[in-house]
Amino acid sequence: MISSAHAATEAHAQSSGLPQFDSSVFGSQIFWTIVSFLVLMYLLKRYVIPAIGDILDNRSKKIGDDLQHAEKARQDADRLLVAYREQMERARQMAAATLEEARLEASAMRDQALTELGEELAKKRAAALDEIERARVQAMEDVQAAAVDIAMLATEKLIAKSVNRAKAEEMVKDAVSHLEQNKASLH
Amino acid sequence: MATDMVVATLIGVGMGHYLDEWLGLHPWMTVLFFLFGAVAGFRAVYRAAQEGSSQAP
Amino acid sequence: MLLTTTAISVDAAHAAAAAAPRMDPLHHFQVVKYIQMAPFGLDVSISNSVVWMWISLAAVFFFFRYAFRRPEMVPGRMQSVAEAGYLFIRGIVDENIGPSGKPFFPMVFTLFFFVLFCNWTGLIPGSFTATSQLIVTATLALGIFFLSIFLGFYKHGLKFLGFFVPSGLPVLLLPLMVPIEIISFLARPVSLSVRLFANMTAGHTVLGVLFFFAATLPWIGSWLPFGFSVVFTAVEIFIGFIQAYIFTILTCVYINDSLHLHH
Repeated sequence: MISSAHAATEAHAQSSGLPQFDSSVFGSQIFWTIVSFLVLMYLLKRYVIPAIGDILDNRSKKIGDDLQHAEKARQDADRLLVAYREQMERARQMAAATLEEARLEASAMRDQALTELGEELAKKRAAALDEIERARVQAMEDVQAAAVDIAMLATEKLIAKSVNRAKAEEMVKDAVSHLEQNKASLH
Repeated sequence: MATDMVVATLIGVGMGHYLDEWLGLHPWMTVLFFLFGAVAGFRAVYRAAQEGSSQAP
Repeated sequence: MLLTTTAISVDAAHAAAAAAPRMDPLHHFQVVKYIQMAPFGLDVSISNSVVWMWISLAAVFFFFRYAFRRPEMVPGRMQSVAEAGYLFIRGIVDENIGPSGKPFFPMVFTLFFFVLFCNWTGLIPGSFTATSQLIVTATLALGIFFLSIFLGFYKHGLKFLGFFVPSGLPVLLLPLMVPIEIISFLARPVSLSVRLFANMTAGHTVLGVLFFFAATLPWIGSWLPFGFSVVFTAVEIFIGFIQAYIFTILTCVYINDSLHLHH
């Protein structure tokens, strides 16, 4: 059927030049061009164009949102950085202040300790001096008492019997040894 | 561009011929409208050339 | 594959005439009615031209449906191409009509891809190029022409007739200028349709001749025309795009003129 139709139309075309000017095929092509165009336009308008438009709109919206988010994140980061720096600065100042305070306190404590130590030492020294003084006085008193004892003893003996020289020396020696005995007991 | 030229001229001739048939003025309207068509064609080519190359063939 | 299909169609065309193969590139444009029907006197016969028009339009529709079967925020390759096509048409509409062109976007979009895919499917060997039929391009162009006239009168009423009267001209020149303006206006649909038709016919005729030589010349002699035909097919792909682009741009220009009347 196709080839016979072909042959028929070809014969027709032979007489009129370009096959495009064969008016016997105009009507159907006009009709189908109009119908096909309208159908395609309907289909594209219904199923294709909104889909593409939506995607493009969504994308540009998403890109805008993303940019906004990124900007916000950047601002947040900036704020955090500033806050962090402030905190660091505060901490540094606090540390310096604490250190200074500790230094002052330590030096105060040292001064106080030195003062106290000095006072203690002075007190101890005074106490020792007192002790020594007391011992000296005691010793003096002891010596004095011993000398009196010796003198009284010697006098007693001298008075009791007249002694010769040799006897006297012996008596003094005796007294001295007595004294020495006393002295030993003194200590 | 060549298409614009030829088409405008042919339309001019066609209109002139039709007017001649109607008014019985052979061949004056045909000649006059041939000139009009040629001018319109030249103008179309000139404009296309001025606007740039977007409408070249 | 290219060679065999061409050879077969050449054979088929001439088997009936019982003649040796001869060069007849024009038979590519021969409309063949597969099914004849004319209910109520309206010729709605289905021919190879109509079938290939449908194939082209189905290709447009299913290309976009396929590209957007699962729309992604970050588009894949097909989706990128489809989006580029969409943005391309939107750019043309915005540039040539402006914001008031938004309602015409679906029509312009359809028109561009209608013409583009008809031009391109015609490059498949053994196919038929619907846009190489003057009556098809004329139907589209006249549709646009009448749409622009309708828009002009709808938006501006009788002031639209001022479109044919150039402003700022001496009254004496008006009898000269008005016919010229009318001719220019009438020439629009004609040159619009003839340009597309002529480009498609010329390109496919050259391709047909090259393929004919490639198919019929002896072995070695066929390689040169075959190489040419490959190169020229690439050129035709480009021309098919350019012609669809021009057709679309001029449509927008005409709609814009009717909407805005600055002439």
